[in-house]
Amino acid sequence: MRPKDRISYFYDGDVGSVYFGPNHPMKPHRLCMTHHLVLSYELHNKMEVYRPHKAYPVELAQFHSPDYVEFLHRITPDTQHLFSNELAKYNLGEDCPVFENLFEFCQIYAGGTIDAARRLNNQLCDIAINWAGGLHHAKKCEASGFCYINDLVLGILELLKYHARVLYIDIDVHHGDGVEEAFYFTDRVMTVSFHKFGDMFFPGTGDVKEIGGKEGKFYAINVPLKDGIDDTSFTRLFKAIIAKVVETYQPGAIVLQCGADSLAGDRLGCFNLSIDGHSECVRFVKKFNLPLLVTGGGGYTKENVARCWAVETGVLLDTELPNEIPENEYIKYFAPDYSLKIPRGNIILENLNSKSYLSAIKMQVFENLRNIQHAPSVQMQEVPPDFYIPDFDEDEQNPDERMDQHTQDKQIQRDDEYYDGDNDNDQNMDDA
Amino acid sequence: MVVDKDLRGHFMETLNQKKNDEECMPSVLTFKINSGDDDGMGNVDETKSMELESNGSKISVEDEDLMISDSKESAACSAGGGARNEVDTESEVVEGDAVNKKTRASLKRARDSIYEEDSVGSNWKKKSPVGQQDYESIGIAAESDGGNIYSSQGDFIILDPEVSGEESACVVDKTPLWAMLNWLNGIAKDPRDPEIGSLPDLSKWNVYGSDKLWKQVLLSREALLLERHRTLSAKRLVWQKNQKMHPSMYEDRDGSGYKLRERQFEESFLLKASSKKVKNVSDTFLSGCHGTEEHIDNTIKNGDSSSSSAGSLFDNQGQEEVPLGSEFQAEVPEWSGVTFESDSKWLGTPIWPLKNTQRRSIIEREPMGKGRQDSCGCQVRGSAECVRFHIAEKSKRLNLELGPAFHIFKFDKMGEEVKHSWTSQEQEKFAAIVRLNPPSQGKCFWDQMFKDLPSKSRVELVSYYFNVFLMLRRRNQNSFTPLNIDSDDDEWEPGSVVRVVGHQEIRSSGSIFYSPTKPHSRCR
Repeated sequence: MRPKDRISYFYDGDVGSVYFGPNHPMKPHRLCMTHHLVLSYELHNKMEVYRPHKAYPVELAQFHSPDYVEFLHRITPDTQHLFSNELAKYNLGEDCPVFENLFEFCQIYAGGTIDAARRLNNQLCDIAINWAGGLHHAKKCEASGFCYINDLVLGILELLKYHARVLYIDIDVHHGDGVEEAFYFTDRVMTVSFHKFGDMFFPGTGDVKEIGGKEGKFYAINVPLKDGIDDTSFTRLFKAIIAKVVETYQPGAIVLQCGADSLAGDRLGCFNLSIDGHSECVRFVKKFNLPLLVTGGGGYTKENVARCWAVETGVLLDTELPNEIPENEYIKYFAPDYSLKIPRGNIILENLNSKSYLSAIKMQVFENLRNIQHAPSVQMQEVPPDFYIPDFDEDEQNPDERMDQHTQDKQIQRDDEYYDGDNDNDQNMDDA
Repeated sequence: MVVDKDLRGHFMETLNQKKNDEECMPSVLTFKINSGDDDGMGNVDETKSMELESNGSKISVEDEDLMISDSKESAACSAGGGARNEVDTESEVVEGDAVNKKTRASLKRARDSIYEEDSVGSNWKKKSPVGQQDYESIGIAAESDGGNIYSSQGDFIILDPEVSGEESACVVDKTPLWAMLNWLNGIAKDPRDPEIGSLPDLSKWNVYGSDKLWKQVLLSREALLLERHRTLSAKRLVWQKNQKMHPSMYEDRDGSGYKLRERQFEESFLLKASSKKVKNVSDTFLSGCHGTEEHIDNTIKNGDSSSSSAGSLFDNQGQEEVPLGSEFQAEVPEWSGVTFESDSKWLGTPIWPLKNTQRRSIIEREPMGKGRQDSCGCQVRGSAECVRFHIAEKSKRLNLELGPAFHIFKFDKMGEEVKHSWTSQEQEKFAAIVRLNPPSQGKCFWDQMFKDLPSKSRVELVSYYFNVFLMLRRRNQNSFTPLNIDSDDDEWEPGSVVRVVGHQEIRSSGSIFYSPTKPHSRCR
C-alpha cells in the first residue's frame, strides 16, 4: 500500500484584507473562510502549512512582459486616472480594477504557486495546494477576467525544469484561455479545459476545435459544455477524457485548477455540479499518483467556495469530512443548514447537455488524441499480444482420467500457440 | 499569393478549354467571398461554372482554415453533367482588411448573378438548379480587381494578400496554376501514385525553385497561412474585447460545425480591428511564418500514409484564433533531460506544524475531520448564546493548538472579535454610511467611508466589513429570509422586499460579468 501523500498547503493571512471593490464578485475573503474551515475540521493535522514568499517582479517576468509587471507594480487607484492609455493597453479598469495592494495580492498568490511547484520539484511533497492561485485568464501582456498575473503559467514553467511534460487540467466554468494560449504551440504542456462555451459566455474561446498549433498541435484539449451539466454527466466525461489523456501523454506532473464557479448556485457560473461531483474530479486526478499542484480559481459565492475547497483539501488528505460544519467564526455563512452541502436553489437548472452532444465531444477529443504518440519524442513500443500460459503440463496428465469441464476449458489453446515460425506466440515463454 | 494578370488570362483560357472536358479537372482553390451578408452556401453552377473540381478532392478554404478535403463525391465536370454529389466542405474567402468595398461589391454582383438566397435566407442556391444536390461550397464569379484574380465563370478566386511586397518567396512563376492544382488533386486522391512524384528531403526543400509543383503548393500555402494568421489574430484580439457574436451561432444544428465557424468569421469580420494590435501581430507573424513551414513540413512528412494526409497540408482542424508570437506565448525551453537547479531558497516559510521549541501547551487534539457535534450541554441548544459559546470555545482551542501560527494566519483578526476594537459610535456610523450610499443609485459607500472614518485604516475597514458587518447581515438574513440569502447584496436590509432583479451592473458583453442566460434572480 502506498504511503500517505505528503501535502504542502500554502496560505498567507494577508489575502483576507484584499478587496477588489464594491460589487465586484471576486472576493479574496473567501480564502480566509476556506482556510478557517479547513482548520476547523482539523485538517492541518496531516499537512504542512507554509506561508509563500511574495513573488519578485523578476519571477513574474518569467512569463509576463516586464512592462506589464512594472506597470502593475506602480499603478495605484489614486494615480490611475493619469494612465488611461496604459490601462486600456493592459486591459485594466473594468473587470480587472486597480485596487489598493493589488500588486501585493498578485505576489502572494503567484508566490504560492511558484513555491508549490518548487516543493514538488524538490520532492519535498507529493501534493501542493494553493487555493489563492488558479487565476487562469491572465495573459502575457494584459489582465483579463479578474486575473492579473497568471500564476499557473509560472508554476508550470517551474515544473518544466524538472519534468519533460506537464499536464494542466482546468475545471473552472470558464475556459482556461490564459494558460492555453501560453502553451498553445508547445507539446511540453498539454492543457485540458472543461468549461461553459457559447451564449457569449466569457471568454468566448474554448471550442473543441481549438487543439493547439505547430508543435503543440493536438496538445490542447477543450471540452465545451452547455448550461446545467450535472454530476453524473460531468464526472463520466471527465474521467473518460482524463484517463485517456494521462495514458497517452504520460505527464511527469499535473496541475489542477479547481475553480469553484462550476458549482451550482454560483453567482457567475451556470453549471449544476454539487461539491461531491466537483471533488470527485480531484479524487480521480489524485489517483494517478503523480506530483500534483492544486490551485483554486473562480468561485463567486463565498460560502460555497469555502465548502468546496475544504472538502477537496480533505479529499487530497484522504479524509472524508462530515457534513456538519464545526463551529467557527464564519459559521453564519453556512446557514440555514450549516452543512457542507450546497443549499438547494429555488431555480432548477435544466441540463442542456444531451447525451449525444457529450458523446460527440468525447469522440472528437479521442479522435484528436489518437494523433499524438505515447509520450512525445519517445517511440511507441509494440505491445506484444497477450498469450496464453497454460497452468498445467500436458505431458503429466493422465489421459485416462476424466477431467471436469472447467479444467478442460482451461486447456484450450490458441491456434497459433505452438505454430512453428516467426509468428510463434510463445516466444516469451522462455523468459517467463 | 501574387499571380499576375498574364497568368490570370492564361488560366481563364485554360479553364474555358477544359469546360466540357469529361476528364477530371484539377482541383481548385475555391474561396467564398465574404461580403458581410453572405451566408456562404451555394451550389456550383454547372452550366456556367468552370467545373474545376475533379473527381477526388477539392481544396477549399474553410473559415480561414486551408484544407484539402476529399470530397466524397466529385463535383460536376461539365455543363449538363450528371448529378454531382455533395461537397461536404465549405469554402471561404480569406479576406483581410485589405479587400475594399469595390471588390466586395463586384464580387457580390457576380455572385448575385449566379446565386440567390433561398427563402430561409440561410442558404444560397443557384438560380438555375440542375437537379443535383446542394453543394455546400460556393463558387463565386466576379471580375478582377487590381491584381486579384477572379474567375468570371469558375469556382475559384485568388486574392492578393497585402504582404505581397515582402514575400517574394510567395510569388508564383508563370507556370500555369492548373498544373499545380492538378498535382495537388492527384496527391489528394492517391498520395502514393508514382506519377505524382515525391518530395525530396526536408533539408533540400530550399534548394528547389518554384518550378516544382510541390514547391508551388508549399509556397502558396505559406502565403495563405500568413494571410490567415494575420487576419485571425486581429480578429481574435478584437473579438475577445468586443464580443458581438450572435447567440444563434451556438445553436445546435445538424452538421453545423462548419456553419458555426463561418458565422463567427462573418460576425467578427464586421468588427473594427484595432490597428495597433494588427501591426504588432503582423510583425510577429513574419517571424512566426517561418515556424509554420516546419509544422507544415511535419504534416507532409507524417501525412503520407493516410487519405486524410493530403488534407493535412492545409489542415487545421481548430480555429486558429490563438495569436502566435513572443507577446503571447511563454518561453518554453527544449527538454534536454538535464534538470535545472531549481531555486531551493524560496520554498515557503513553514508555519505548521510547529517546531518543537514552539510548542507551548499540551492539549487534547481533536481527531482530524471532526464535524459539529449536535449535542451539547447547553441549556438551550442552538440558541444564540449556545452558538456564541461554542464558537468562542473552538476559537480558544485553535489558539492553544496553533500557537504562534494563530497570529500568523491572522485568526485573531477574524470573526466578530474584530468589533471589539470598534466603538459603538463607529459601528453605527459604518452602518449608516452603507445605508445612505446604495449601489443601485450608483454610489460607492467606500468613498464616504474613508472620509468619515479617518481613524480606521483601509485594512481595518475591510476587515470590519467582512467579519462584522456582513456577518450581522447574514445573521439577519438567516432569520428573516432563510431561503433567499445573498450576503453580497449590499442593499439588503432587514424587512426589505426581496429583490427579484439583481442590481448587478450590466457590463459590456466582453466582460466576465456578462452572462446572458443566467437568471438574475437570486438562486437561493
